[in-house]
Amino acid sequence: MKRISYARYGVYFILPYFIIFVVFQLFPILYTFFLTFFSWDGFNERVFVGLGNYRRLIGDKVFRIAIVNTFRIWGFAAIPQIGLALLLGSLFTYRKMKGAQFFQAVFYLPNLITATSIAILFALLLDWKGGAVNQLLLRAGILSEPTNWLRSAFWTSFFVSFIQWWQWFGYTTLLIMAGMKAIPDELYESARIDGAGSTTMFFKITLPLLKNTMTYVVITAIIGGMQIFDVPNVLTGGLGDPNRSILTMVMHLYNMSFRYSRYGYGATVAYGLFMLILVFSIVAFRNLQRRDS
Amino acid sequence: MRKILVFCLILCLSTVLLSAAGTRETPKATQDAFIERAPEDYRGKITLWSFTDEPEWYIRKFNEVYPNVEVEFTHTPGGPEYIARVNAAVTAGNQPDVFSAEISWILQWIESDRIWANISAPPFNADELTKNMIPYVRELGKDSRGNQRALSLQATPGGFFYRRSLAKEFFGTDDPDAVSALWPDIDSFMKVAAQVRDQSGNKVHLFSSWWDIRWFFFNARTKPWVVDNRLVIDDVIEDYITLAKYIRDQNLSANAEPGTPSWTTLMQEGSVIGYVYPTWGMPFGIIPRVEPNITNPKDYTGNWAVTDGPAPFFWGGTWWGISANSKNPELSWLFLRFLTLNQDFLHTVARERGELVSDLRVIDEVTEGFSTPFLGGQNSYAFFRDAAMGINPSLVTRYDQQIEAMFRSSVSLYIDGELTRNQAIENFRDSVANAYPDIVVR
Repeated sequence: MKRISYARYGVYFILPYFIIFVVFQLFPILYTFFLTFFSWDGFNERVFVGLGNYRRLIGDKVFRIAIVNTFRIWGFAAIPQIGLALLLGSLFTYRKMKGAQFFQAVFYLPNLITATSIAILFALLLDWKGGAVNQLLLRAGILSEPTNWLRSAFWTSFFVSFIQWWQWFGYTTLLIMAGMKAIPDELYESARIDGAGSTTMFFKITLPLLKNTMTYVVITAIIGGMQIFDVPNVLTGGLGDPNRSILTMVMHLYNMSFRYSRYGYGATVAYGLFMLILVFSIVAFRNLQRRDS
Repeated sequence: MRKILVFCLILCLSTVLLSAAGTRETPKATQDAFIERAPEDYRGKITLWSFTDEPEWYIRKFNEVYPNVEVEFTHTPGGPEYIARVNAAVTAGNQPDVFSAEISWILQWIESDRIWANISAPPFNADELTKNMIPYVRELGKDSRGNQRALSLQATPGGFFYRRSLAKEFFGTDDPDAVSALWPDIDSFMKVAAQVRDQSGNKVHLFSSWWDIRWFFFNARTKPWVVDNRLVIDDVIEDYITLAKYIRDQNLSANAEPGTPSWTTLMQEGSVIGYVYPTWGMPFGIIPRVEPNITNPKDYTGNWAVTDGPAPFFWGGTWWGISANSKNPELSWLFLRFLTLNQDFLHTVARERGELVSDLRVIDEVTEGFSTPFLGGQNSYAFFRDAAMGINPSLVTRYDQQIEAMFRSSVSLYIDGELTRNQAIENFRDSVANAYPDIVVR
């Protein structure tokens, strides 16, 4: 007896996504890889250079600086971000602090503002002569004369990390709270009966059971954080001033491709970045998934 | 299911291969010249891109004469972003009908057949119309084969725009000739800066930052940034680097660099005596910051004037061309002709914006009795006209925009005390080498 197969309807439903994916994501990914073997300024003919771009990438001093910068900015943003999210998550879920919902919304708000607007805002705030930060610190007596924040490599990097942290900790808090809510209360009850203190409970019960949530949070933080570009670009005008201290990998990619019209080499930087993120994600994933009890 | 995946893969691979093999054609002229029509008979729509918002005014004036041509203007502020956007459009073959380039990157686009149309050729025949254009403006818009690609409505010699009230306070006079006699060269300019600093107790300064006065040095060079693919740091630039540090250490400037909010704030506060700007600096850089929203020129306070700096210079200038693949070459050419060659419009530019136009006949007609209300009635036209004839564009390269940005970045590190002078210069060489591996930097 013939059985009616409804399988093809499933295919029709997923086809729109697939077409868009192929055209707007898969094709550019493949074309970029294709470009890495060429030298191209955007409108003259492509010139085949084989592995020349990759050789240049390995020797590229600025790329190495960009890697260090990106990791540093990311580290100083992601670690406090996840740490604060765990703290806030615990406070709201376990200490049952009032106003959890209200604060969740408030903490999430910075994520909704476009990064470019925030960068312009901070450029105004940190301005040497008229910026609000200097004015406040002068009046409070903490500074005796205005500091040029954006001419200091340390502070510029600090503020980029700060902006990243500020934008994302709300989102991370939401995710972690969702993960915490999924942990059954009975585990905590029995632990308390056995005499465990709250710190022990946190490290022995909460964290291990948050493993999957934490994996997701860390991996997405890596993927997103390694691609920081808009804030450093707007904040100090595209060269990562001062002294390339906030020149991130994507900024290097952007400069090579669009500022200096070297699309082939820019594509190579993009693939270099991809390799790094892939390796780092795999390492993080293995480490997080390894703790089996 | 597998069939879908195979189909997708074939789609991808064939698109990649097809794009690799694709070619673009350049349009051929189909007639010897466009037919002249009555102004209201020109109908249609063209697109226009630029990196400043000045075209809004140009388009308004254009539509007063040609009411039925719609010009859709897209403003992309900032050099690098605008360049990237146009480059992307050129790659796709759909660049806007009319678009501009500034002097610091015009050479990146001028040679290509795919970017701007050759307007020396029919049906445009620009060469007959540009005989009265200031020579350097016309020549800079030509490619190496002598084809005109772009035209400009302006010439951009420079001067030092200063506040009359501060000049009276610190120099005892606000007369432009008397003021420029105070600084026949850079050394005397710095001495005046020191005098202003001392007299005001470090509250008022002659100029805003080391970067503001760069043009006195860039234009005094004998060689451009890149010669035969070698990076050249002219002796004048070496002096400039040393002087920049001296300016910071001695507080000779207000230390507010262009592009920062403080630069604007200090201009509005009035604690900097003057600004190094060319002709377009007045309507574009100064007026919108100090006396915006004034519609009647008589309402200007007239508290500014312009005089010679310690060295002559020219800065910037915007050239306009029409797309090599324009779907509407007739209307595009109509707009370009109006913008750069229409005498009535150029008169309006001179009168309403105070800018030096590129047409010699208009300049001569305008100069007599010209008075700029914003500058307290000064005849800025006479002032700029003589300077314009002496401009030498041979110092311009296609790398200027990017190299100057890297130069500023590296020298700033020396001025801040982060690097020694030699380290800063090496830093600059490294940046140029990293961005343009074909240029020999050492």
